[in-house]
Amino acid sequence: MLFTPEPSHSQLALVPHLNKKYMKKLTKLIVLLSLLACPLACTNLELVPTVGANENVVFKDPAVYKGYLYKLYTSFTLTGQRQPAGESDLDGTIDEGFSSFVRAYWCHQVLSTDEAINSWSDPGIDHFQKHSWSDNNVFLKALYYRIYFISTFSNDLIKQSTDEKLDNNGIKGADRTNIIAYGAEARFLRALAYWIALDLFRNIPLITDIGLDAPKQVAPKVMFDFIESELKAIENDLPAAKTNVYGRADRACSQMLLSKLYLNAEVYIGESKYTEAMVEINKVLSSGYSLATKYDHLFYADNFKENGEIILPLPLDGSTAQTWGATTFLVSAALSDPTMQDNKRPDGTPFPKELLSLFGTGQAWSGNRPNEALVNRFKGSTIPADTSDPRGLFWKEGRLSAEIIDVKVFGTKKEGYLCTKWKNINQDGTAGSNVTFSDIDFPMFRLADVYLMYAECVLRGAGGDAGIALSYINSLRERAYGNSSGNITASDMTLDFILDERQREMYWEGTRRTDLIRFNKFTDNYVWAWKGGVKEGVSTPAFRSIFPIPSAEVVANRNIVQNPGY
Amino acid sequence: MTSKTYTVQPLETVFFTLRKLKHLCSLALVLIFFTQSYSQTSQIKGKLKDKSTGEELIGVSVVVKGKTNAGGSAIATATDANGEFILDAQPDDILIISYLGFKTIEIKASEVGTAGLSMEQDTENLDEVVVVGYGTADKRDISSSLAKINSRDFNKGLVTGADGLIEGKVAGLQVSQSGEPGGGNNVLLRGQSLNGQRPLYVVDGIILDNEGGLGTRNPLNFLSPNDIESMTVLKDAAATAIYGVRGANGVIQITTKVGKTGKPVVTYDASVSVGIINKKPDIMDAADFRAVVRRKKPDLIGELGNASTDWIDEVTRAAVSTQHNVGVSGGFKKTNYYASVNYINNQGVLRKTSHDRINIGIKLNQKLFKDNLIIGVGSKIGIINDELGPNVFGDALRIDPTRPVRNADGSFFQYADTQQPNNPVALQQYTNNRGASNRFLNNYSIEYKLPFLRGLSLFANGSLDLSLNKYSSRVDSLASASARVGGISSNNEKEVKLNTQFEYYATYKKSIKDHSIEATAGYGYYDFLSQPTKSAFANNTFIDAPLPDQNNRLISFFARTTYNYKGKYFLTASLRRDGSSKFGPKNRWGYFPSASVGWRILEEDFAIGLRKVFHELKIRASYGVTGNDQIGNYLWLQTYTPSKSPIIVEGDTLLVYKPNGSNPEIRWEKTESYNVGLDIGFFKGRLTSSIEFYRKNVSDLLYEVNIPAGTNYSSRLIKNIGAVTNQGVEVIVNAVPIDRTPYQKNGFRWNLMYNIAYNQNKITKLDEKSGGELNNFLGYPVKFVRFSPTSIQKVGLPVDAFYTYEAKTDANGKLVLDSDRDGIQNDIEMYKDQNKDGIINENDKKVTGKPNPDLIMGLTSSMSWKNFDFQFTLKAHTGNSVFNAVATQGYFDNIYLNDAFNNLHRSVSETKYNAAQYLSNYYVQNAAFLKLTNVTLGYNIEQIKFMNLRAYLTGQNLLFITPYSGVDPEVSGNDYGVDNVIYPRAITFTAGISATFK
Repeated sequence: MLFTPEPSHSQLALVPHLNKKYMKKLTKLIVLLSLLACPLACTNLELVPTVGANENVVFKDPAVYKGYLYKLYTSFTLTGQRQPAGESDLDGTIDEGFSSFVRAYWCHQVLSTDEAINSWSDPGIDHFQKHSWSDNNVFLKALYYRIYFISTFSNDLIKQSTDEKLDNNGIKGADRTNIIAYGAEARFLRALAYWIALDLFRNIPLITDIGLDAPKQVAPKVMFDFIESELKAIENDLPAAKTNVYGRADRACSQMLLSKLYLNAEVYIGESKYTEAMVEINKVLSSGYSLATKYDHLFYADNFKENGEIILPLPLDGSTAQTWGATTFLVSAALSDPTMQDNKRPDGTPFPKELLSLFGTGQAWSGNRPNEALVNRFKGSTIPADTSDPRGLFWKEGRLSAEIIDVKVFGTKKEGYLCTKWKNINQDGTAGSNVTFSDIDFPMFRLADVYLMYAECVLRGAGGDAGIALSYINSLRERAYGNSSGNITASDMTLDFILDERQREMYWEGTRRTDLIRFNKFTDNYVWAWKGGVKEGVSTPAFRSIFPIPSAEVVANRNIVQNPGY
Repeated sequence: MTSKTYTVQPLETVFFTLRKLKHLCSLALVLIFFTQSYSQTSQIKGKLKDKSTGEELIGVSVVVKGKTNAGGSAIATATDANGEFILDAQPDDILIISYLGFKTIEIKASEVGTAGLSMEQDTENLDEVVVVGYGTADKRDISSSLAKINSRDFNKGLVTGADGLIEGKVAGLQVSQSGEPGGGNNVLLRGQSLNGQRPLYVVDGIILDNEGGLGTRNPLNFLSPNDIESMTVLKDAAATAIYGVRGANGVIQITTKVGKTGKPVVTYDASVSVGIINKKPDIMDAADFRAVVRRKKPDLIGELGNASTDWIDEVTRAAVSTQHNVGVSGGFKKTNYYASVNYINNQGVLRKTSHDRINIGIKLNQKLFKDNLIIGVGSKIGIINDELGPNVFGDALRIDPTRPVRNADGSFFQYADTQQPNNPVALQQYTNNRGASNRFLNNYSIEYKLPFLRGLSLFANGSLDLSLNKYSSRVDSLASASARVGGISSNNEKEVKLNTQFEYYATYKKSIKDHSIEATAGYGYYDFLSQPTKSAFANNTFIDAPLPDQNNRLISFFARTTYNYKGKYFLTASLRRDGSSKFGPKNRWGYFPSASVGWRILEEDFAIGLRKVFHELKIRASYGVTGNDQIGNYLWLQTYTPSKSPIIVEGDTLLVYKPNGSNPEIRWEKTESYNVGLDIGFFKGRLTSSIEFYRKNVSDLLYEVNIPAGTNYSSRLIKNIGAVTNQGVEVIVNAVPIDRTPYQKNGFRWNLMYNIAYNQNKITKLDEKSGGELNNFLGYPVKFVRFSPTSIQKVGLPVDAFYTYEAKTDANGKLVLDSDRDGIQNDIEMYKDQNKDGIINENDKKVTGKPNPDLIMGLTSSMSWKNFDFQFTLKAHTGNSVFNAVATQGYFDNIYLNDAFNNLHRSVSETKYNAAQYLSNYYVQNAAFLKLTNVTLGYNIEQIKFMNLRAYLTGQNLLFITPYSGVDPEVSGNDYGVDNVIYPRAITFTAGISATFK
C-alpha cells in the first residue's frame, strides 16, 4: 500500500470523549437490561442430569460400554450400585441382601431339595424346605425380579450395540468391533436368564424391548425355541472357548447352556432332546478343558486358578466386588461360631480365630446345614459300599449327629453337621482378601458337570460311548479318592447312580432341584427329612415342580395367569 | 387526618351492654398506661362514636399532645360507657384521639363540640391486611379460604421450627411437631392424599423448595421464629391457584418483621428449657425378663447376665436448651430497618442428638423519588449444627436387660456376632453423625409506582437461596462388629444448593365510583439446583464418587383480577401457566385457573337491621385447579447413573452405569377444589365464627407402583395412577367470653380460639393396570421385622387403610390362640377365616383401621388478670389408628435368637404370642388423643421506666389422654401410621424473659 491515512489528532481525542459520556449510561442500560433479560431468556426446561445423563450422552464414550457390560455380568452376583449394599438394583420393597442372583438361585435350587435345611426366621425361607412356598414369598420375588433385571439390562446393551445406535453415537474402529462382541455376550446372558426363568417359573413373558406396556406370558415352547435360536445365532459371534477375558462368556458357555436346555427339554416342552444335547456336550468336551487336580480347590478363595475346569465363573472379590449375597452367603450362612469353638463366645472379641484360619471369614450366620439325606449320600449302601467319599465336606466335631430335629436352632443344640464345601481360603492356606466378604468365584458351569451330562445322555440312549462315559465318571471319583479305590464298573453306571453321583459331585452348587425334577423325584417318588414340613418327609403335590409367579407381578401385570396350583 | 362530622346519636340498642363491655376493655387498656389525669385550667368534654354505625365508642384514648402533668405523665383519659370523656386542657391544646381499628384523630381542644366526634374505621389496619400471592388484600374482601395467625397467638416455649408455631391454631391444618431437637414437622392441610403432602412455604414472597437440605432436620431452621410477624395459611384453590403446579397442598405464607418509623426499639429475649422423656416404650425390665426366661427357657437361665440395666434410661437424658434473641428495629422518614440475632442450643432427650444454631435476620426498606420507588433488601441467615444420633432405640428395645453397660474391666459390653443388638450406649459413644447447614436466603425487591399513571405499580423481586449442607458419619474402630458392618468407618456428604427466583409483575388498581378493580400480571422464573458430593472411607480406601446434580426449573406466567362493588360483592379470578422441567415435553405446561365470589350481606340496605345483631355476615364460594409436582427430577427421562464403587477388571477401573426406570408419560397431579364459606361476627367482633365446606378431588395421582417385570429398568416406577377425594367441614370460633377490663384496671379477660375440622378421605380410582390395589410396606420398623405389608391402597377405602388379619377373641375379649390345645398356635386357630376356605392367607386380610383422623381440634385459651397472663393450647384427634410395630417384638420365641437373649415387649404378657404376628390387628390400636400441648404463665413488670419486661414459664406436651398403648399416638405421617419407635416428644419446661427497651 502506498498511502496510509493518519488519523488526525482531533479525531483521536474525540473517541474517548464520546466513550466517557455515553458509555456510562450505556453500561448502566446494558446491566439493567441483562438483569431483566437473563431470566426472561432462560426458558429452557430441558434439564438433564450432569452426572450419568441420558443415553445420547452416556454412550458417546466407548469406555462406557465396557462398564455397562460388566454391570450386566455383576448383576449375577452383586446387588446394587454400591458395595456391599446400597442403591439396590431392585426396588426398595425387596431386601437387597436377598436379591443377589447366586444367593436367591441357591435358595430355590438347594433349599427345596434334600441338600440343605435353613434355620433362619426370615419369613418364607423355611417354606423352601417345607415345599409350602406361596406367591408372596420374598425370596421368590427377589429372584424373579433379579432375572428380569438381567433380561432388561441385556435388552438395552443389545440395543446399544446395534449398528444404528453405534452410528448415531459415532463409535468406530476397534471400539466398534469390541462393542458388537459385547452385544453377543449380552444375548448369551439374556438366554441364561431366560433359561433359569423357564426352569423355575416355566410360564413367563418373553421381553426383548423396553417400555411400559404389560407383556403376556408365552408358552414354554416359545421360550425354549427363543433360547435355542439365540444360542445358535451367537455361537460363532462369541470368542472361542477359553479366549475371552476371565469371567466372561465364550463359545463353550453358550454350548454348555444349550446342552442343559436340551437335557431338560422333556421337562420344559415334553419332547426329549438328548441327542441334540449330546452334540453340544461333545463341542464342550472338545474345547480343551480339564479337571482340576483337587476337588476342594474348586470352591476356594483363589478358585480362579481352576479355570481349566470352570467354564463359566461368576467372579467375586472380597475387596473389590463385595456383596452380602453370592459366595459370602454360601460361606458364612453355613458356619456357626459357637460350634466351631465349642465354648461360649467371649463377648467383645471381634472375630473368632478359628473361623478366620479355617474358613477365611469372621462371619458366621448360622443359617444353612446339610440335610441328613445329603450326608448319607456319601456313605451307606451306594457304590462302593462302606467307603466315605472325601467329597463330603462336613464338620462333625462338636455336633450330635447329621439328624436335625429342631430346625430353628443351629448353634446351641448342635444338631446336624456343618457343610464346609465353600471356604474363603487360598490354596496356600492363607485367608481370602477380606474377613467379611468372600473371594470365591461361583462356578456356574464346570467340566465335571459336562462329564456327568455325557454319561447321563449315553444312558438315556443319545449315542456316545459307554466306555468313555465310565472313564469320565471314574476320573471324577479318582480325583476325589486320590486313587482308583472308588472307581465303579460299567454295570454300576445306571441312571439312578448318575443322579446320586451328580449330588456327590455338585451338591450345594445350585443344580439339585433341576436334577431331581428331570429324574422325576422332586415332588413324588422320593422323600427326605423335613420335606413337606414333617421330620420324616412326605410327598408334595406335583405343581410344586415349578414356582408361582410372584404376587407383586400378578398385581402389576394384568396379563399374568398364575401357574396352576398356586 | 381529622374528622369534624357531627352526627346525631343513634338510639340505644338491646346490645348496648355488650358493646359497653367491649369498649370498657379499651378504657382499661388506656388506664394501664396513663394512670393519672390532672386538672388544668379548663375542662374539655366530648363524645365519640363510630362513623359507620353511629354507636358510641367506649374506651377511646384521648391524650393532650406534647404535654405532661407535674408528675411527668401524659395528660390523658378515655371515654366512658356512654362514649363521653372529660379532660383538663387549654383550648389551644391538640388532642390525640386514638382507638384500635379506627383512624387516629388530632383535633384542637376548642373544636371538640358536645355533639360528638365520629371516628372512621381504619381499613389499613395491619391486622386486617392479609398476604395473598403477589400482593395483599383486606381480609374483609377475601372470598377464598385462608387463615392468618399473628405472632402474639403463636405457640410459646421451645419451638425451633416455624411451622410448629401454628400447631393447633388453624382449622384443617395438622401439625405434628417432631420430638427431635430442631426436628422437622409433619404438616398436612385438609387431609391426606398419596404423595408429597407438604404445603408450599413462601417467606416474604420467596417460594422455598420443598425438600430439606442434607443433614438438616427441618428446612425452615434457617428462619428464627422470633423474626416472624405472621403466618397465613392459604387453603382453597382460589387462594393457591396463583401458585399453580405447586399449590395443591396449600400454601403457608410467612411474613417476617419489619421496622416501623420511629425511635429504635431494642428487644432481648432469653429462655432456658428442660426436656424430659415423656413415656418409655413398654419393654420388660430385668426382673420381669428373668421371670419370663425362668418360665419359658429354663435350660438357658445360666446364659443370663447379672446386671439390671434400663437401656432406655441409659441412652436418654434431661435435655437442657437455651435461647437468646436480640433485635433492633425502627425507621426514619424514608427508611425502615429490622435486624436480629438469635441463638438456640437445643439438646435432645436422646443423647448424641442436639441442635445448635445462629439465625441472623436483616430487613431494610428504602423509599426514593417521592416515595414512588421502594427498594427492599432482606437476608435470613441460618448457621446450623446438628448432632444426628445414632438412632439407638431399636437396639435399646431389643438388647438383653440383664446385661451390663460396661464389663468389669470398664470396657463396653458388646456382642461379637453381627446379628445381635448393639450396646446402645457404646453405639452412641462410638458413632458420630453430624449435620451442618449454612443457609443464606437473600431477597431484593423493587416496587415502582408510576407517577404518570397512578394506580400502576411495577414489581421486580429476585432472590438467592444458597445453602451449604454437610452430613458426616463416623464409626469408631472400637464399635461393635455390627455397627461397623460393611467396614465403612467414615462418610462425608456435602451439598450445595442454590435456588434462584426472579419475578416481575405489575399491579393496577383503579376505583371508579362504587367499582374498584385490581389486576396483577407477571412472570416468574424459579430454578432449584442441588450439587451433592460424597466421599466415604471404607475398607481402607477412599471412595469419591460423583453424584448427579439435581436440578429443576419452573417458568410461570400469572394473572389475577379482583373486582369489588361497593364493598358488597367480590369477584376474584386468577390464572397461572406453569412449565416444569420435571415433566417431559408432552406434559410440561399447564393452566391453573381459579375463581371466587363473595357477598357481604351487611352492606346491603335491606340488612341495616341485621347490623344491630351482626358485626359481619359474609358468604363466599370458590373453585380452582392446582397442581402437585412433588416428585424427583428427570423421572420422565431415560437416564443412566454411575455406580458409587468402581469395578476393577484386568487393571481397568470401570465406572459402572445403571439405567434408571423412566416414565415419559408422567404428568403433575391435578387437584380441583371447591370451597363454600360463611363468616359471621357478633357483638362488635367479640364473637366471630366461620364455617367452611370443602371438597378436593385429586386426580392423576403420582405414586410409585410395581410395573410388569422386565418391561422397564426399574420394577417400580412413579406413575399417574388414580384419584383421591378429601372433603370436610371446618369451624372456627373466636370469642372473648369474659372481659372485666372495662370495669377494673387490669381486670380479668379471657380469650378463646377454637377450631375443629372434620375430614374424610377416600380413594376413588386406581389404575386398573395396578390391579386396583397396592401394598405399602413396613420396611424395618424395629430391626428384625421384615417386609410385612400392613396397609393397603384400594378404591373405596381411606388412604393407607390398615389391612391385617383379624384375631379371634373369646367372650372376655381375650385373644384365642390354641383352641385345640395341642400347644401349637396355628394361624387358623388364631385368625378369622374371612373367606371360609380353611386356610389363612392374604385373602383373609381385612381393613382394620386408618391412620388419618376424622376430627382434629385445637383450642387456645388466653387469660389475663392484673400483671399476669395465662395461656394454654389443647389439641385432639379422633378416628385414627396406629399400628404399634414396637409391640410386635412381644412374642415368646423372640426371647432367644441366634444364641442370645432379646428383650420382649410387655404386650406379650397380654397376647401370649409364641411367634411373631406382624399382621395381627391386635397391633392396630385406637390412637385418638387429647393433648395439652402448651401452657404458659407470664408476668409483666411495669415498674422499670426504660423498658417493658415480661417473665414467663411455659410447659409443653404436659399431658395427653389416649387409649393407645404406645409411647405417643401422634406418629409421623410418613410412616403410614406405623409406630416405628418415634423420637419421643419431650415434656419441656421453659423459663424466659422478654425485654423491650425504648
